[in-house]
Amino acid sequence: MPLVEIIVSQELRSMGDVLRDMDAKQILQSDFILMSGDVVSNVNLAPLVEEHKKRKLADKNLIMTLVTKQASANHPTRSKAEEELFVLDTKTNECVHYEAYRRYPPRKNVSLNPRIFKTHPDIVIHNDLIDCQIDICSIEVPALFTENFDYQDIRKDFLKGILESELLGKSIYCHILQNEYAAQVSTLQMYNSISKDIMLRWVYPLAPENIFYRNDGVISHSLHNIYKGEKLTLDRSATLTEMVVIGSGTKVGANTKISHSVIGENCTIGANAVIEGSYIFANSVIGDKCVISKSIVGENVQILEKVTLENGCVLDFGVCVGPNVKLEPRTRISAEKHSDEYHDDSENELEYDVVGRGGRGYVYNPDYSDDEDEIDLRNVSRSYLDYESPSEYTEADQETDPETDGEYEEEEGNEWYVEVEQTIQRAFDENHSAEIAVLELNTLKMAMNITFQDLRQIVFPAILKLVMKGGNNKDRQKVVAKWFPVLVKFTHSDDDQMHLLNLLQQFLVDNPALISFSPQLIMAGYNIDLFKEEMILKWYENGPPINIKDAVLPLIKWLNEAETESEDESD
Amino acid sequence: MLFESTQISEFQAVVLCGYGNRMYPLTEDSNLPKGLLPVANHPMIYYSLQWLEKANINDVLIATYPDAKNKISAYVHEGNIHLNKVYETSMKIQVVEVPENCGSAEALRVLKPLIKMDFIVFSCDLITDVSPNVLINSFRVQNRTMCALLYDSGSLETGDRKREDVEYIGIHDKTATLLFMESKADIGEDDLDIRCSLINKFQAVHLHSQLRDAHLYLFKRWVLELVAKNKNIVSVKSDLVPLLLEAQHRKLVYNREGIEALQDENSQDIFAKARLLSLSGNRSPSKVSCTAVCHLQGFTARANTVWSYSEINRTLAKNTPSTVPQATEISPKTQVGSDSLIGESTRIDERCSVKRSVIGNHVKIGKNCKISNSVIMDYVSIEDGVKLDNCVVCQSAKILTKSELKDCEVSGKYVVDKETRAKGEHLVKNIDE
Repeated sequence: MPLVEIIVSQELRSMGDVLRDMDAKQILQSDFILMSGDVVSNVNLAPLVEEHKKRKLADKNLIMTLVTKQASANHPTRSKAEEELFVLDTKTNECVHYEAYRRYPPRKNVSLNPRIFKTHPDIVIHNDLIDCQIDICSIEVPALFTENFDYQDIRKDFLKGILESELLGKSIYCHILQNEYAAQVSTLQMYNSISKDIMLRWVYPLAPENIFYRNDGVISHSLHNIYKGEKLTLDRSATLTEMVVIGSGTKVGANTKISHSVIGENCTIGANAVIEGSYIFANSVIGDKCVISKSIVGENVQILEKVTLENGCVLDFGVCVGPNVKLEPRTRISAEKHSDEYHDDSENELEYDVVGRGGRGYVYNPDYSDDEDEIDLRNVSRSYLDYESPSEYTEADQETDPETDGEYEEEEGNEWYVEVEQTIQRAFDENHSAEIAVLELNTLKMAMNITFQDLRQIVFPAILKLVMKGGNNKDRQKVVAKWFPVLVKFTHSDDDQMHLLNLLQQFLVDNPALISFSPQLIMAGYNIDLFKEEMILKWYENGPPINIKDAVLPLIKWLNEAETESEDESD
Repeated sequence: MLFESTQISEFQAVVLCGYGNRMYPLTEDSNLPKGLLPVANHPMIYYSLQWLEKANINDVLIATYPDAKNKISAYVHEGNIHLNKVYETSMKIQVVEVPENCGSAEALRVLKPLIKMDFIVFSCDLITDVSPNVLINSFRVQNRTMCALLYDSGSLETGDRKREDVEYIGIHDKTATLLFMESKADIGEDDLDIRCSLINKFQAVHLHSQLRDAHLYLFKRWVLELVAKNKNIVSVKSDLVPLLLEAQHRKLVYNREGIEALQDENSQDIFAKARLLSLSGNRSPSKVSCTAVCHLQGFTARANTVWSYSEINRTLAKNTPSTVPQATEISPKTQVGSDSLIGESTRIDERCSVKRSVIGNHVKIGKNCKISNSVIMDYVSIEDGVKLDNCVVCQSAKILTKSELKDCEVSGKYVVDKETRAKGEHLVKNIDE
């Protein structure tokens, strides 16, 4: 056995703090392997270390080799909530760019600096790699953390920082595992898939019969991946379907069905219970007629009779639930009250309606709203135990096409719309001058790559809405006088004018209250040359609804007269 | 006869002979259209037609601008006293006039009534020794919409420092799918943006920055309907190809262009139904699917700048086995390097040296001339004591005694005065003269 030394330090809140502490204490004397404690792996590191050394001879600036594993998009041990991109040099696997982002909200683009191509003309963007969190590091790494005291995360800060820095000139390589297994238990969903992989023997020699339990009970492996410990008491009518691990000393009652689950040692499971896709830790007691699906039950938990745990429930160590209750999907029960500064202690009562009359425990609701980073609940949902990716084929079809693609397109389409609306609204609220509003909208037009038509489409109805708000005609006139000039800047051709008139008509149809004011609106437009008279007449001939026609008739008459008059004059 | 032994052909070819703006002053009216500029003493288009012949294509359309039409049809059809050369072939060649300065896709729009099947678009300035079968097979397998040819620009064109047209080309290696092509000129100094949806779908995107697009494409016939329908498509390279590449993975683009309807109307795929029932998975995943052939070993280059034109001439001259041309007199006291090529009926007088150069037909060269790294076209006459280094001299030009030119282009029929010293100049005829 290698020497294991445990180092205890206070106040270390990130990987960055740990490595700085190591550097300060001068604990490391040579190149080292850095590994996250939650990694499950059967990788033989010796050849990787050799490769790292060889690489170091070729590239003196090498400071780290990251171990990654090749895996397709729907690989079960891939985090469903986060995407990681490694951009590697095709020939050397040198990492030239790294990007990690949450699945939601969907991201549109990944940007690569063209500088990369000067030194690495041929690269591959990998979205098919799982970061195993096993790093072979050179002795310089802790010192680099000390130098850059703001680095916290070894990926998001350190890796990105090193790759983007031209000054440091350090290089980082990736090793891509093809056949070996390595994965990090980062979410409940990952816990689930890694546990199943172990049962399915993907991580051999790390298989249940080879893993030492606390009490060192011997586990035997039988058909359909059923693993049984010693001194079990299984009722004759109990069925273990497939993929089940049962720890030593556990008792299972009559007619109970267990599948795809792990049961710890010395548990007692009653009769007529159903357990599927769940993890029950040691020394727990489960009553008769319970149904537990896709949930985690901690140690020393008591579940009384007829309790149903639906998908994704988690019970803390020592909790008690039941009898006769049904927990909602994804309920989490904690043994201690989750301390919450803002709430009164008087509320510190057991929630019997949830945990049952005989229950003991508190509902835990993680509060995402306070978090510094905005959390998209869709990501959280993907990290639950019961999140199942649709079967491979449907996912390939649905996820990549309608879901992801569709969403990107929608966002793309709506962005400018919202932006324009907000800009004009801000102009109203803060009472900007028309010139400033025009300037802002024009800038937006450039930035969003939209047309004048798009601008008119949003701005005109917004102005009309504001006109509506004006109580009497005098207020309305003021609004018109102030904001109509904005439209002039976005209206150039006859077609544009017609577009505006049609927008007006549309608005009047939707808001008949404004019809009585419509002649004034058109007149105001006419006075500042927003509408030419022939366009107004043409629009009128095209036939707006009859009530609008009636309202504007006097105006049309006047226009016709004015026209003939001017013709007369010219004659 | 009941069964005529006609060859059934699968493709038609379109050869685009543009003006060659970047080739000024070589393509001035006093000289030759770009398609007829000699490359190792054959007109450029000779190489295009040879390649198409190798591909077993027997219906070729040459699209060119009005001024060049007669000269090109003279070459491919009747022969001409002035050119004295004609391309002999059994292929059916039509020379079609398209408006001047029209984009390559606009030219396709003009040619549409003449194109009845899947087609190859070939740029006349492309010279390649890639086997046509490689391209055609990768187009046929998996029922691709488009197949492009990519080549490694490293060997031949990197010497030209002026060239900035680096292209970023994304390929999914596993399925040999061409994902995107973006030229550096378009994005400037900005970051290269790649759509996440693309990365999610294809997982590993191989990004090349040393490959170039050879502007040789194989297209399905329905693509032409798309070109006809969408008038915004002006150029094959910068509009049509990016559109098809996007339609591969973006449903929105696919639907917007109404591609499904176009494909169905034009479906000549008699195996379509059989494919649907097939278990072999030999079906393309999306309805638009583009592939590319990377030609890394061998020779591929585009003669689209003066620099690459003369470099290709030199390279071919070196690799062409030198034969003694007909009726050519070379004085025994003159040195002609084995890396040079001399045309027919050419006379070179004594004590000259010719290195790494291509000299055309009916050229007269006087005494004591030094010619290196140059391209001399037909009917040029060079008097005694002239020194030429890295020059291109166009048809019927005259260079009088003791001139020394370096890095110059001499346009057609131009007369270089005696004892001229010039470096890096375009010697172009004045319009008044």
